[in-house]
Amino acid sequence: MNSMELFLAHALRLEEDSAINYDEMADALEVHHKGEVSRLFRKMAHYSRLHLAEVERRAAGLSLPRLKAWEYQWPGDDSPENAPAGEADYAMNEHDALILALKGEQGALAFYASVAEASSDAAVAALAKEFVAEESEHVALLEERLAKTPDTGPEHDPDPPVAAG
Amino acid sequence: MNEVTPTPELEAFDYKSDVNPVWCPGCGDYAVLSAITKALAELRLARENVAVISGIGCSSRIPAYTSVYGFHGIHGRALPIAQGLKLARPDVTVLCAGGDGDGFSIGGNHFMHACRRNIDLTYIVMDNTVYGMTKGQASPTTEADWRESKLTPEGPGVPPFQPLDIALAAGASHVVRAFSGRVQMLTKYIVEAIQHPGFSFIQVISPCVTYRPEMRALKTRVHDGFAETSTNRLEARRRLLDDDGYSLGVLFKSVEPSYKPCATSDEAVADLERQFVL
Repeated sequence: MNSMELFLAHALRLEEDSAINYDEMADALEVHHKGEVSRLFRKMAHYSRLHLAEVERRAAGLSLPRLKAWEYQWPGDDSPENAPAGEADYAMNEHDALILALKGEQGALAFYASVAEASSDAAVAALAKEFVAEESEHVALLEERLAKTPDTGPEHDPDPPVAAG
Repeated sequence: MNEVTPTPELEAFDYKSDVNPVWCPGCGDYAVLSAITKALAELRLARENVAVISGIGCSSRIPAYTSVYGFHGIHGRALPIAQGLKLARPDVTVLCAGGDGDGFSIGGNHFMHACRRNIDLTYIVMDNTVYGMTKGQASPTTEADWRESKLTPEGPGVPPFQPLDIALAAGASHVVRAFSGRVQMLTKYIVEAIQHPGFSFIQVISPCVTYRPEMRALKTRVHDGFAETSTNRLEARRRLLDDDGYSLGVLFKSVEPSYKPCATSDEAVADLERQFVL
């Protein structure tokens, strides 16, 4: 990725998708009365929006390309900071949620690191390194919190779905 | 697809309503909703020129989660409603959505005839191979040996319905299989389906992680088996002979005539009524 405009278009999409994804998971868990887990995802959405605002500030005055949804050059199938929502479930605990959030942040970190390493544009590589530093902080914070959060197993459900059919 | 004046500056979230989905955490249908709204934003369709029609089931809640026109219809009857709407209002972009039970069992007959009529609409089936809303019974696409429901303790015992095969045999002119875990590609498929001038069918493998938690593993089983699109119906059907059910891509695409209702009739209603007099 050798143009600042293209890189920032990706960064904007990554952070916006991430915020939406975290909010969706927060909403879904809220429906299932999982307040603590929901609040965690809501907080992650907030951090993504803070980073989004920062990227928007960096992009001010530049003419960013309008990419189609499938034209983004992500390393995987989805926007890289999106926590794998398919691994969520209604009985998840805070430990499970932290693991999902950690996967999301690690995805963003890996993406920015790959740009920092591969870009031939010095300014793009430098900015990507800044983003790597920020994402590394998020990863470290989540790892620290994860270490302090025991895995209590799935919440007890007196009417488990799989046996109910 | 209709020729419409693009609406400027609408983003995907503009096509979402302020109603939060009540789907289970981890449900694949969230990704389908995301792909639909991204596709509408990509095409910059005016919200008042789009309608999402559904039947009954978890996935059929989707019209409520969009900000375009919607109709949450009755079980298995989404396609008749969608076709009626398109015939009455050809200027409207019509999306029809639902699940495998709604579309292939209760609405199975409508599915075949919708394929055959080839009316210009997009039918998105979120196939989770289970009846989720009623707590996990076998659906038309459930494997014969799935034993997790007390209603079918030895498994359904019948081979699963083959949506792509049926669609091709019945005359659908645009046939796709996608996976909810690949949102970017799903968005592209939905855009192409809306642009296709005829009946577009998209089978989206959309895991139900609550009643079929083993579906989480599908992300490692899906593959680009339909990477090349066939324009030959016979060849497309041949490709299904060794399909494992996880091939993704646009299997078949062909521009073919659509059903058009008679614009005028020479006979008066009274004349028609006389034919039924005993």
